[in-house]
Amino acid sequence: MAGTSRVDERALGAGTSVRFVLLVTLLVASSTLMVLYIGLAVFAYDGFSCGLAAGVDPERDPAVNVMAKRIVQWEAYRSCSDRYSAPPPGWWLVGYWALLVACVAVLFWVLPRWKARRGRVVPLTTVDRDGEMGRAVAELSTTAGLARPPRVVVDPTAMVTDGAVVFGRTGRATMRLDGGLLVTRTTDPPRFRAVLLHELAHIANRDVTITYLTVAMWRVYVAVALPPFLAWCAWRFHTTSGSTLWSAEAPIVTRSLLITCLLAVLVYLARNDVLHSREVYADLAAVRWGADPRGWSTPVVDPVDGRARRAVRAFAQLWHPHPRWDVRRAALADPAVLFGVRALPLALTGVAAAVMHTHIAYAITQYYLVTTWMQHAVALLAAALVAGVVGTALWRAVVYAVLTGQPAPSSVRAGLWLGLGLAAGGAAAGQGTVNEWLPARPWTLVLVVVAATAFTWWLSQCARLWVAAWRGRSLRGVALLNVSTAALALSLWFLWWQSMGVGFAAGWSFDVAGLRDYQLTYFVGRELDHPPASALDHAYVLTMVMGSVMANPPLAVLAIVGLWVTPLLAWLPRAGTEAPRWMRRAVGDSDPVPPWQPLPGLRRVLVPALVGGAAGGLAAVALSAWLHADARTGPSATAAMVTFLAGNILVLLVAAAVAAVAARLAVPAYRLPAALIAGGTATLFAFAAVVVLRASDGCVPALTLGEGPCDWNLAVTQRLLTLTLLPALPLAVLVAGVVALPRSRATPRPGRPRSMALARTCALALVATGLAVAGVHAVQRAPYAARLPEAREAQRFGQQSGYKVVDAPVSARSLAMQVDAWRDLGGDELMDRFYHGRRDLFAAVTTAVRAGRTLDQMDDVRPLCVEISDFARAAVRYFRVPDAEAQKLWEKFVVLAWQGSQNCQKALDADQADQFNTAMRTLATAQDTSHAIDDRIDALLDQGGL
Amino acid sequence: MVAVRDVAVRDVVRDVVAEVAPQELPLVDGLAGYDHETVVRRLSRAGARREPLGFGWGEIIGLVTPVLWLVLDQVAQRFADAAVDRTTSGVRGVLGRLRRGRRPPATIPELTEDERAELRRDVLDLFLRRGLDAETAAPLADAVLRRLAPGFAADRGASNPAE
Repeated sequence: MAGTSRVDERALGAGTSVRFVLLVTLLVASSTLMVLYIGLAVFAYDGFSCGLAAGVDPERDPAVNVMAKRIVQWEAYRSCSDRYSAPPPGWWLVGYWALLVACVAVLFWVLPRWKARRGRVVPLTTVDRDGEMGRAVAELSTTAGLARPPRVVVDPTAMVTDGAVVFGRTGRATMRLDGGLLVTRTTDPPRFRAVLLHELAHIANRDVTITYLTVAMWRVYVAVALPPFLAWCAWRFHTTSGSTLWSAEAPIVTRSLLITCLLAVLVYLARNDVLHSREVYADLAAVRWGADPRGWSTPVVDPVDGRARRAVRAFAQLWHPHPRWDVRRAALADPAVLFGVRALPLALTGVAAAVMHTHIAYAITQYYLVTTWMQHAVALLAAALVAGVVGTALWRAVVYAVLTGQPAPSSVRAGLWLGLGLAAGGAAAGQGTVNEWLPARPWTLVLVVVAATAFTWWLSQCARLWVAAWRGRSLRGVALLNVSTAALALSLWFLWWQSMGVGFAAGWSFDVAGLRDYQLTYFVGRELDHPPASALDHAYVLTMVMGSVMANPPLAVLAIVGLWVTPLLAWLPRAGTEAPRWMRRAVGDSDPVPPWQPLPGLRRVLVPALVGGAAGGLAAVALSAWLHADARTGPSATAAMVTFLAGNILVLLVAAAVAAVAARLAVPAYRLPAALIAGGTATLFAFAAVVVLRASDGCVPALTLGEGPCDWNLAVTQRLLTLTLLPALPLAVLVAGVVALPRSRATPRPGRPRSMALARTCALALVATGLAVAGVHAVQRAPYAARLPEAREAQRFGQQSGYKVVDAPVSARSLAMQVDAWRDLGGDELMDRFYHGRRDLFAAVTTAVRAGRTLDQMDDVRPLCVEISDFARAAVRYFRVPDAEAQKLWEKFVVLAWQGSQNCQKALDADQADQFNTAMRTLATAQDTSHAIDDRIDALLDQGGL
Repeated sequence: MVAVRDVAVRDVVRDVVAEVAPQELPLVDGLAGYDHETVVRRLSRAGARREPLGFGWGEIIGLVTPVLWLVLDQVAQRFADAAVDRTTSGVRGVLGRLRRGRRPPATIPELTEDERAELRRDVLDLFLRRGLDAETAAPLADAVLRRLAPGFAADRGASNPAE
């Protein structure tokens, strides 16, 4: 800071509101989850039985088995859950939220009245005989820009200290003065003024409402939401701790308790952290209004020697609502503390976001609200709060570094702390653990840390770029643009992690050939041959799994394209020779403006993009030529399709990589934004080359892949976009980012203002193209994103994508519980249904025969046969029997019932008496098989001691 | 029942503060609305509250009023206890206080010359123990003694010893 002027702490927003919103959202999400647990206990028949009926072994099944057994029987599981473990009705939740809001409102209203009650404080007039104090408060309120002075009361018994406090709400605040302050007015007037102006600054800075709202919310959470939940935990411990289910329940119940304790600590620390910064803001405002810094001169703190002691003191400070005095005094001279990127808030934000995201995702799953829009909205909420908190901190740090000429703080360190918070919060909230204590693959949590680091890197690099480019009065608008872009991209990561990453962490292994065939059937619309999985298939399937998040969310392309469009926009403002206006405001008109460097020319970014696009075009031509030659050797249709798709994705990635390498060399000072812009743009250029090649297929014999004539067939664009560009987009960004990782050794060449009309036109055209692709995708996917996925669809994905069940021996006790649940939750009812249907059928036939009616006169029999067919359809949709032998009998039973009922209908239609008799005998055999199933299950129950 | 010549702690505090630290008089005025027990309870609970949006936990400021009030309360309690011990109905008096849940009235009786000399030593000792420095404590003890001198009430008019 030496040699530079004091930086105005208001150069950018403080980000306090978004941090409070994060706390509030966390409290609401946590309260809702707690009431859901209780609601399920009250309303549900039995939360675990559907899992047992699906064959889940509560003793030994790892999380991946629990997931697999549910997903491959999703229709049955969903139907069972609807019937036996439905969440509480929606009005329950609404009523609960209304209760919480009402309690918060009442407490918020009562708190200031309680603190300012008679017997606790006295009005200022009681101790201010000459009215001097009242006049001083009024005068200082005017200085602080308040429309009216606050109500002032005095606590005359607080004689040990000479502080003050404000409470109530911002529009109607009450200021309580310590008795000691009345004496300080005469003994130490600068201190008196400092205290009063500091408190008035809290009112002017709008801290009062938001602080006491948080206080009220926290107390309502502790007093209203927590006790029933703790009772639920105790009840679960009491009822299931001795049962077989306990090994599966213990992690869930314990984790719920743990997360509640963690939440208490988290909210308290996060609140204190925000309050620390609000205190410094109030101090700075007070000094700006004329308070004497000597007012902050007490007390003198003994310096602490030694790293351990300093750490202990720092830890103790976390629990205090005020920052240390030496920190406050230092901030009056240099507000660096308000521009720092500190580890604790980052980690806390990560934990809070992960817990909140997991909780809300659980709630919407319980209510089957899992449309793509809803899932993305939840992810976006978590991401927006993270980006708001972290983005503001990083932007402030970059701005401060630029204004003071210091190096910007490490975004990698920031990312690591954020990522650790996200990983820890996710694991604690149950991501990838289901019924286990830890994820089966804990190393996958490293991906979370890497993603968080990429997020902070992008934010700080783009902040540097924009801070150098922007010339307007305020940076708030461009900071918001950048933070919004980062939030959207992070939401895509959250969405992917929640839908795929968590499964990986839990141990899910995908079947490459199965997933490949599923993908191709989905895209091509028909079944191809099924060759064994090759190395290329592995690469292709991995790419598709990574890019799977691009397929459904309408905003997915916008999220990815935004990562290079936003930095590209930084080149649009006209360059100038004078210092930017925001910089002038931040350092004050009279102070020297720090050295300032304009951006390098856009040509240095665009030329690499063209180079990359050209490389991609050449690669596309080479691929076509090779595929043309290879087609004559006759690979399988599936292999050819995979080669074509994977090859074209590779073409796009080659373009991105070449462009990124060239860009990081050309623009070393901003290597990440430059690599992203060049890589993203080159991907689009290369995609255009691929489209041209395929649209003109047949025109160049050596490049021809199809059998049609030479034509200009632009209809291929849509399929190529879905099959190649969409999965390639996130990978292209990833490749460009990896290329930009190492520091460039090239010396940055100074930028110079020049006529940039052509470059700006090109930039605008690229931005428009990127946004157009994003827009087309959004419009196309929007209708599907509002649709609830069919249970059958999810089941089909589960079956084809290779959810594998890990072999785990089942104890007799568990098996007995499983078959018991299977029979109890539907098996028994189905067998009864068959029994009654068959009995009615046989009775009707017997009556008809005794009455001497022939087959053509038995119209009343037909509906009874149809009913048995309906039973067979329902039985197919029900769970498999958890016991292998009983399952064989069940399959035989259902097949016999189906055959008997079908033959019955055919015989009646064709008037075939023999066929009808055979059908009746088949149904009789089915009945016997049903009894055998009962016998088998009874035997298993005996063996299991049930 | 309070003797006619007893003087209330509250009055002694007010008069001594007016003489030694007049800038603290508004505080004594502020305490007028509280009964003696409340004042003692809350003054005894020394220390700053950890509240959000406060100015912060500053250094302890050395005011005379709280120390004076608490010390005189201790003195009053001693006299009250001695009086209880002397009376034959002491047990009954203690039981009666317990039943009512109240302490005896905080008053200091009229003192003999010897008692006053002893009181000065005690008060000075209590002031020092409560953290006052000797330069502040000695004049304060003298002011207390002056206030408790037989002629003070006549000089200033009769005070109301009852609380």
